[in-house]
Amino acid sequence: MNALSAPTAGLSESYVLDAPDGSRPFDATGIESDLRSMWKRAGETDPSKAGAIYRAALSNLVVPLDPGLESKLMPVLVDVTRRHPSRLFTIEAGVVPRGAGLRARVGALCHRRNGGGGLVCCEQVIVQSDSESISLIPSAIRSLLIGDLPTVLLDFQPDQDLPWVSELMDMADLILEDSCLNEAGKERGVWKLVEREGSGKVHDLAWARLAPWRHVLAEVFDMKEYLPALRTLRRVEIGFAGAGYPPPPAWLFTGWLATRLAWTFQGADRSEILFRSGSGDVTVVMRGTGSREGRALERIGIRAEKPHPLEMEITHKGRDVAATIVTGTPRARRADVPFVYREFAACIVGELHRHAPNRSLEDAVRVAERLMSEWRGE
Amino acid sequence: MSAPGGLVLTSEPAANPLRDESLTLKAADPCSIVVFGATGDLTHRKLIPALFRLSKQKLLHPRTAIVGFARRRLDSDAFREEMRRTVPGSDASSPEWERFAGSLFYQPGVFEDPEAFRALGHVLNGLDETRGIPGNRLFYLATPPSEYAALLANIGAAGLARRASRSDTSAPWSRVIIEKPFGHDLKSARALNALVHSVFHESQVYRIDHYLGKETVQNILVFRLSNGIFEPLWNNRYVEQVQITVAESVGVEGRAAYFDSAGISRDIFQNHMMQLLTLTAMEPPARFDADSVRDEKAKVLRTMRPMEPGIVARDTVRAQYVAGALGGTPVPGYREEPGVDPRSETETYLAARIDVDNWRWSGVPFYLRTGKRLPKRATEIAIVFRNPPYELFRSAGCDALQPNILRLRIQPDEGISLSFGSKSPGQALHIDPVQMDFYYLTSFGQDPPDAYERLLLDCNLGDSTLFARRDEVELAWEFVDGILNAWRSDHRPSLLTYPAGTWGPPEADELVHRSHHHWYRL
Repeated sequence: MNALSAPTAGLSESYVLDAPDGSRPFDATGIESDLRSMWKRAGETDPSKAGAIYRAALSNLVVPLDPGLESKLMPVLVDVTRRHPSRLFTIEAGVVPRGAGLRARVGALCHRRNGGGGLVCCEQVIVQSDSESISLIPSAIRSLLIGDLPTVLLDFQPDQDLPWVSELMDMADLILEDSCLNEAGKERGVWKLVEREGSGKVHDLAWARLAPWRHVLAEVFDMKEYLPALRTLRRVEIGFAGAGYPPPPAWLFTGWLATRLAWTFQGADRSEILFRSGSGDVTVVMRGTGSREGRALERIGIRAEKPHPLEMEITHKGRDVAATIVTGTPRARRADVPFVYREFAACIVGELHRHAPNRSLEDAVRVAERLMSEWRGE
Repeated sequence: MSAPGGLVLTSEPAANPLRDESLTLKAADPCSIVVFGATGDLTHRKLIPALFRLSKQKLLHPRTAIVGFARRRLDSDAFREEMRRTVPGSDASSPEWERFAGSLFYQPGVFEDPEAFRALGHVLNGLDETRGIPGNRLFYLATPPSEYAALLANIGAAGLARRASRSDTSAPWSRVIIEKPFGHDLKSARALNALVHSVFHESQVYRIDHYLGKETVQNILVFRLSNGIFEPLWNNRYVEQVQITVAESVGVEGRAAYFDSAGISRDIFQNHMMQLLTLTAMEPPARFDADSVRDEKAKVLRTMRPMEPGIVARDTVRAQYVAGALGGTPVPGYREEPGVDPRSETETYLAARIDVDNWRWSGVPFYLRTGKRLPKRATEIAIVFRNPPYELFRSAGCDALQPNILRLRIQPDEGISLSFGSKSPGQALHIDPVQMDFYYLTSFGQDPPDAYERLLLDCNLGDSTLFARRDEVELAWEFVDGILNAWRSDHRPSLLTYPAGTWGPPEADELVHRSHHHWYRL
């Protein structure tokens, strides 16, 4: 292993280590040998400079990486391996000149231990292919997986229906998708996958990012004073960053409310969705706040009518640690409540720890997909 | 459209349908945390750093207020500045610290002065008003136990310990965290509990033994009860002996006054070691909730064979270290330590054999040892399994088999290892012990979080699973009192000595040799 290279951008206590030999034609035995020699050299590193080096892995993390996204996503992946050590496979399909075939090189992502005392390192295998060898990528990855650890596919290009990615999905124990990364109109691809493979295997990171909103709303209605108002809800306004077509979180949130509160769908147009609850009609409006670019929720407005009137607005912006709840009825009140905003990497790792099927997601997805179809008039 | 999975609301919904199964984490309540003894060592070293880390992880409610209370005349700004020095330099200048510092307040006062507590009440009411705290209070007694009586009496007299009914989750709550030692014998523990209960209901009392907040200690139950292969072996049919070691390499380190009156039996054996033993030996609880877990731990304490004088003489070893060398450095004997009575008879080492007389553990000795100035700092539980009924390979010329040993490493090098026999490579048939190792660090890439973080958060959330209940504390004292009383009697075993930097006196080895066992090396 080479001496520690410069810290990774944005993560001052993380380091990327490259094996000195660089990229070579893919050969599974050779790659494992490169990894072994890398660790052998690491063991010979002057401990006074690097401290003890610990190799750690809880999973195989497989990531198809579009070269255009690499600069944005590598810091996220570095942070993911800091939080959840893994053997990381980054795949760059079709990036090397034709005739180069399948190539690979090894390295490591290392993180300073909390409180010092050495580095925790994760192996990285970078697999590159030319356009003709793309179909060989799954077999290459399969030969290098650590056998007794789960395999996680982190798919940042979910709307590309690629056979080699489908093959990676088949070999994965867990698939992390993000419906927010789909092009507009293709969000449902992820949800169809959830329905087909089950929420135990396929997780939507857009749903994971909704967790703080769902927490806040659940906390609000944990209060006996407000709980009966769930019965008499008449209008819910969902405000999202940006403008235009509602993003996946808005649909998922609506789907979640509808299933939790047993609303039945009545109809939709471009301005609102109409449901019927046990006590009357409920209108859901999804609207961009126009505040900035983005697809995150920023505001939930709630109105319930007598005999349990409630007017409430919950707002949250960006990375704030608190959301603000302003209540008009039954009595004026303003309160800040915790909003557990999580960085992207923390969301990913949170999903890595979730092993059970997520019925709430499955329900929400089913409704969200239906609503979106109606909205589009399909 | 149908509403799959939805709940139908009745006219009076009893449960919140938005609280679904994926929202299991409960948010911390806004509250005022009052730290009595706020200028002391525990606050500096543990409490403020732990609260700050919780704040950084957004696990404290943003409206939380932390009020330091101590004799020293300080204002809130000076207190914040003093607390800033308790966290690493890079954190101390971070925006997270600035936000956290804004939640720190200070109220000077003497613990014996009722007026100071009325003033504290006014401060807390003011914080309720300005920060929107609904009256929740968490009192942390980070003081020597000698201060508890005055503190508790004045908390009660000032009306600060309002009692929330356990069933009324929306009412403001008050809770108190009490640091160990919980008394110095059974009588004083009962007196302390009576004093605490004169002000707080047991459901409001959180007796903290920081060992229970360690991930590795919590993992004892997870390891036993979530893995199909171990629990069936966890009994006298397969386990030959259990060894629990809490070894410290340090001496008394500025705690001479306390330690010389307490000894290792009160400082570590009665609390940390009893917790480790009960978690190792307890039956699976009916549910994983506070009372079910603590019920089972209490049952173990009830089934431990009482320490009659004859048993104490036979099955315990008490000793004190004399000058020796540790890690290549000469160290003084206990009686030469600053602040220690040169004629002190206080034990710095205790080894004991404990028998748990129940169906599961009958006949399995639990060997416990703890001491100061031992060769290294290490806490470990070793489960030593019986050998197979027939040593097949002895006839092929192999030596006696080494037993399988499951080691639960509590600290340092937190993890678990299992040793088993393997054929050494080569033509000859040799069986050597090899190890399968799990390290928290190399599996999870991080060291386990600090115990105080977990315990402070649990108290805020009202989860007392990892805190000692009254009956546990009293049962542990009842057991340890047997030893202490025998040591005070005319027939007490003599105080042995061991050189600092060794694993204790030879008599500790003899204690286990009697059953053809030996201490396993750490």
